[in-house]
Amino acid sequence: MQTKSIFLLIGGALGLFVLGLLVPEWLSYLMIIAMGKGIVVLGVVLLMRAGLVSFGQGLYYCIGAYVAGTLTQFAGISDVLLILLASIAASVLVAALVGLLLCRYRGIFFAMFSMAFSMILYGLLVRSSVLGSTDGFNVLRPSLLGWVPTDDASSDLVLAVAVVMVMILGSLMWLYLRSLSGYAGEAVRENEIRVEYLGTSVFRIIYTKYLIAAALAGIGGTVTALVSGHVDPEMAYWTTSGEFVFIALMGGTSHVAAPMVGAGLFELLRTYAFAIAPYTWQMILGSTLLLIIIFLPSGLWSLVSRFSRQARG
Amino acid sequence: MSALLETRNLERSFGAVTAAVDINVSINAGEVVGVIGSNGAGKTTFINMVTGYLKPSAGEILVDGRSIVGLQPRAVVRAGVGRSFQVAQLFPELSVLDNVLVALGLSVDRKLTLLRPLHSQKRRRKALEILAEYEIAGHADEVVATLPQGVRKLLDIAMAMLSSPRLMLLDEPTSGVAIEDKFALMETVMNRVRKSNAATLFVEHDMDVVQRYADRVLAFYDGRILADGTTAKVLSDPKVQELVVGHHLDIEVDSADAYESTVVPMEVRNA
Amino acid sequence: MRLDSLKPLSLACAVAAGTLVTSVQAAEEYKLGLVTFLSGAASGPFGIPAKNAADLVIDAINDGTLPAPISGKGIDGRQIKPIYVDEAGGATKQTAEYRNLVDREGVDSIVGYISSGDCLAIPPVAEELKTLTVLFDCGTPRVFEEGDYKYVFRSHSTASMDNIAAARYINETVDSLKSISGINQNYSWGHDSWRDFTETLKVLRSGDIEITTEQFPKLFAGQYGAEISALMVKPADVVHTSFWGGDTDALVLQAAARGLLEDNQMIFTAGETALNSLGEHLPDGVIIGARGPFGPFAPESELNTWFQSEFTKRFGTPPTYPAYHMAQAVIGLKLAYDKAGADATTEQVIDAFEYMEFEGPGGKVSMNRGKGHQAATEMVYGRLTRSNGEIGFTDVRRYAADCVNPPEGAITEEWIKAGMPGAKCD
Repeated sequence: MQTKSIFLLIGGALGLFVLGLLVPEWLSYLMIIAMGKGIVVLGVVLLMRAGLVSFGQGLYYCIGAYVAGTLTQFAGISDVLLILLASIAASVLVAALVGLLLCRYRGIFFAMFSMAFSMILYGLLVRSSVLGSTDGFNVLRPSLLGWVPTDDASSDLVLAVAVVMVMILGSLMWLYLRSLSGYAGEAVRENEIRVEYLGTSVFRIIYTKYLIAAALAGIGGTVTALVSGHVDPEMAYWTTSGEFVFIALMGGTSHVAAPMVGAGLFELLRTYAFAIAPYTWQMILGSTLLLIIIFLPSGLWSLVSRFSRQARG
Repeated sequence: MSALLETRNLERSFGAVTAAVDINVSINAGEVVGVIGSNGAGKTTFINMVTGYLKPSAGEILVDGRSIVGLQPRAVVRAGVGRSFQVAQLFPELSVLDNVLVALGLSVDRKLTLLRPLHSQKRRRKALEILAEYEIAGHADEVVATLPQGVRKLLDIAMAMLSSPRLMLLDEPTSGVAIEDKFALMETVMNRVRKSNAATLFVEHDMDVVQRYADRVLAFYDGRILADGTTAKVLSDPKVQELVVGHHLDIEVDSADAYESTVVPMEVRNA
Repeated sequence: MRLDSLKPLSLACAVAAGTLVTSVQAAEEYKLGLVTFLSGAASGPFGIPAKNAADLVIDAINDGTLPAPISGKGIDGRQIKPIYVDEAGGATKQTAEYRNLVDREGVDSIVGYISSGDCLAIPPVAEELKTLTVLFDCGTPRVFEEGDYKYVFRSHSTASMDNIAAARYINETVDSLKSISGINQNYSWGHDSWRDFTETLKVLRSGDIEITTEQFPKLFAGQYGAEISALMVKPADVVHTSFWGGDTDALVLQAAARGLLEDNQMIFTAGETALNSLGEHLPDGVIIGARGPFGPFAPESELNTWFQSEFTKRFGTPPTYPAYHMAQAVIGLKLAYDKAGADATTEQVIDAFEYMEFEGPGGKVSMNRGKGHQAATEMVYGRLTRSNGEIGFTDVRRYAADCVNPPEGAITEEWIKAGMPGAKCD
């Protein structure tokens, strides 16, 4: 059973990678952006399952992006593995500090505080003319273990990184959510008192999940920065974090694939809305979310589970 | 032998209001103690202090000789104290089985494993065994929110007992349970409790239940312990009957029983 | 079919249709991607006027009705088909939309970008996709100061010109100038504008200038009570602002109510767009800039006369500088193609465009910075005055392109601080 799953995963990853190479460039680019954002949303969903809605994942998304930008642009480091490690380290470090305060709160207070921290970073970046203030700066092409790809090949490299990250992180999250630690989140959401009276620290459980979500957001930010070639403070603005929550609601919280599906559909929807209604695309986006909330409150993934249930039953 | 639970001059005030004062209690392993008293008499305050939910204003609480004053509830639980709740504290959206699995993991296994699945064969079997002990195995796959009160209270108690506490506090175990099910519930619980030789305190308003299952009774009144002794002695004490029970009880008394009377004369206190 | 299963199905169909669409290009069509703000705060004062100008000029090019010396119908003999994309959504979104225009729509070239953030993010993508791109409005000098691009051109001067010229203007025309203060929006545009202005003044006056206060309210704040109070409490001889759009409107209304405009000499470096709506609140003597020789400052020419009258006729208001910028870009593109000759490749058009000098509706444009990719024009400032209720300008001063634009290869901030070496002013 174990080996079969691993083969399926590797096969899936290869398939996704090949798909990314075959489809038109603009669609491949969209896929990578969706994967980057999907990874961030994975963290949002993790926190949602523990009963917390974070409107501040943009903080780590932005950190991950700026780490990628700073290393390639100012420090001459382009190795994608080093960059990923640095983003994870930076995100987790900041989360370790922020979480000490933030994880004592719940509900609306948690949401507002998380947003506040993200906006603090936004403010700092806007003030920094070295980092380009509101204009941001460009991210240079990544390399891998000494191999410096040509311009064309470098987008393939980022595609590969995105696919591998999605597969690894998705699988790890799937295993995690089925483990005791994963269930601990559900327990905290359901009844914090009971968890404390079983002898376990609720704070520690939430803090751990917050760190994991931060690392995920940092990785997502790095992927996005590498593929778009540009970073700016907007990534830490609360509307970016809002977008991640939007996607989480759209996709649903019941399966690890839901954030990816949600992100993919969101990007597609937005780009077609741009094309169909250049003046009123926001209405299309807003109405779609409204419809999903009304008719599919558990998100789009509930359709998948409904169809598979019908197929089986 | 040293007491399992010992409180000395325990006291708790909320501003000008004294919720509990002068609480001196000593309970040994294996004892089953009923805690009675009308609402506001101080029973819940007492339980909350013993489980670490409230910090005493003064006094000492020792579990197994160790002071637990100032410890968080989770530290008190790890020191060997278990508690069930008046309103069952469960994970409502999860199934009964999942409730036990999670509780086993959090209270017994302690290692918050990151990648091993919660639902292993071995753990399922163990959880079902536990459910069977409380005779609720048939509800294993039902979601908690849909269950009747009796099953919920049993599950609550089962979860509290998982860590094999040396001191078990049951807060109104039969409240909300249909009359015809009360004794069945207490039978199941007491069987389990006696097997573990834990010291047990249960808060109860139903005197029939107290009479049937308690070896000893603590009667609270107005923040103090009005009486502390064998069930028969305490329940036949006219003061207790007047102030706590509210009516006359027909109790047979064996005068050879030891009776620690801490009847305190009524005092007029300043408002 | 149930409603909730209809949605994903139709979405799937849309995706399938979209991916199957290949760039089927009619042989006579020249597909031009146009990116500008069609929604949001920047659309009113900039995006829509720019789009209108594009429509006007594109139709005229297609019909061959632009005044001489511009001739021929269409670009490269092909009728121009514009494809509009909203610039909203941020730089990451715009790089995705840029790729859509090139890969999905198969455009021949792209004219666009008002936001400096987009102007920094797009050029590397343009180089990667080898698509001719003309930036038409953004202010940041960083594009060609920080990189060399083959496929990217900018057909207008950077915002550095606005503020360097502003410093010269007040240095020359304000008697006993001792102090300045500023209110600028708290983002790169505002910070860069204020920096270029103050640094130039310091050089011109050898450091003999006092800054009484500098205010940086949030972009789109809308309420400037505290800032106006600060400006009034710490008065200066000149108050500088690079405000644009709705913020300018709000500032003017609030400042007028409190007497700030009457009591102080203000200079609005990008104030021209507000003239039509706010003219009545602006007192005589306020100094206005139009980011170049545009609108009321455009030199007399057949092209300008045509542009003014046709634009006003078609859209009801006279063209402001965003419209001029767009016209300049599209005309520049057309002229580059004309110069390169029929059936020219992109590389040949690039060769033609580099170092090109041409006449737009605002006069002479020289593509002589950024290795032939960055334009420089003159800058104009004037004082508002009224005669018979009509708004006009006095004390109009024109600053030659080589006086107020940093020369080839220079970094704006360093060049100013070094004393603006090589500046050729009359």
